[in-house]
Amino acid sequence: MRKKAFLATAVLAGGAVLGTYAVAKEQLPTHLKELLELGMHPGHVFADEGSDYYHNLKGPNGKTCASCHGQDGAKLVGAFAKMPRYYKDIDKVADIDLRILSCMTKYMGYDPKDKKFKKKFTKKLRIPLATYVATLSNGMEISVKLDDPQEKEMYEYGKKLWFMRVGAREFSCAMCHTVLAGQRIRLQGLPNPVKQKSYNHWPAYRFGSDRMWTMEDRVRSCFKAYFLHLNKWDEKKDWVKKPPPYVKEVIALELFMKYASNGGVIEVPGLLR
Amino acid sequence: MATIGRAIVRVPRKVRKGQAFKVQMVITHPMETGLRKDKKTGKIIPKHVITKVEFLFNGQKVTTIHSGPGISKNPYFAIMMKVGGSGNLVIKYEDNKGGKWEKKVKVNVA
Repeated sequence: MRKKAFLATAVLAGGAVLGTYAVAKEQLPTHLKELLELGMHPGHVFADEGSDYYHNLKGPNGKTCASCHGQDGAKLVGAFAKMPRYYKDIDKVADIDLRILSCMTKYMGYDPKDKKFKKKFTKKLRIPLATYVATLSNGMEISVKLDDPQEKEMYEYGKKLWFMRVGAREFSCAMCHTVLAGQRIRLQGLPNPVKQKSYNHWPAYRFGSDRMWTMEDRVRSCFKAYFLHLNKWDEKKDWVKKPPPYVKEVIALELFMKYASNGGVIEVPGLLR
Repeated sequence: MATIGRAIVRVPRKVRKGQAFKVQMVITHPMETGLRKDKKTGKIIPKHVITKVEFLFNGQKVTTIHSGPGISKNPYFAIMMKVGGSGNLVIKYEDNKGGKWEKKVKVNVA
């Protein structure tokens, strides 16, 4: 009996390892599969644009990204594989979006309270830059470590949020992505980010909305679509809106999912329906 | 949003003389058909499409693609071509609102 049980678990584990980006690829419609085989899709344009901003965009200080991190992102290779993590200089656990924003306000001289800059950042600069930095660690394994006590605390918080049922529909992330994972909502297959290591193709280009999404956008729009409002947000104001950007809740969930997908090989920009 | 008109072009690193190779490109463009309505205001969104893509190799015309509203957002174009020697491939593309862009790549013949 024991042997059988062991075998069964081994097979299950094997299945879990296989089902990374491959599952998402199988579920794509045929015209998108063809585009993947050709090896070029609109996601790559965003990476190209990001590299343009990285080298040429000057802040008020006269610095570019390249003046600190080196030409062609020499010092940023493999940085995305370790994110989100604790940074000493900003005293926060940061994902890629928050890290880029704090870099721009702290070292490039932009004013963090300037509304014009914030709008420009969220609409124009954030996604190309994040995509470019992510592409630098293509082909590497995700290796998030929980060394710092703040990271551990964040991870526990993310785990709690993952299984917590909240909001008007009493939904949790785990309902779709752990309990019902492998089944479908309408035509859309539900991945299991914890078992399948399916973080490796984010940020991804989504054909449904015809734009690039980082994980922050993905988590925030899930909060909106399933009314996952938390008690501390204003119920009347926020319950059908997206949560404010770069909040603790979103980053904690990202950390939980990315730590679970440790060992997955990064392939960005991904292509999803 | 990526800026309108930004594009990437990909050619093989080294090409043999007289061998057919593939030139791939993706342009970011909204490609509005002119038939959709804005859901909030109820007004028709004006037409905004790429009309012409021209491929020139060393000043000599290779081919022209006439495109229209039937093509998807952020379109992908590809052609097969042959060359006799190294040179510059220039791709010119324009839309119906007067936007004109150019993209240059080098083709190295080994």
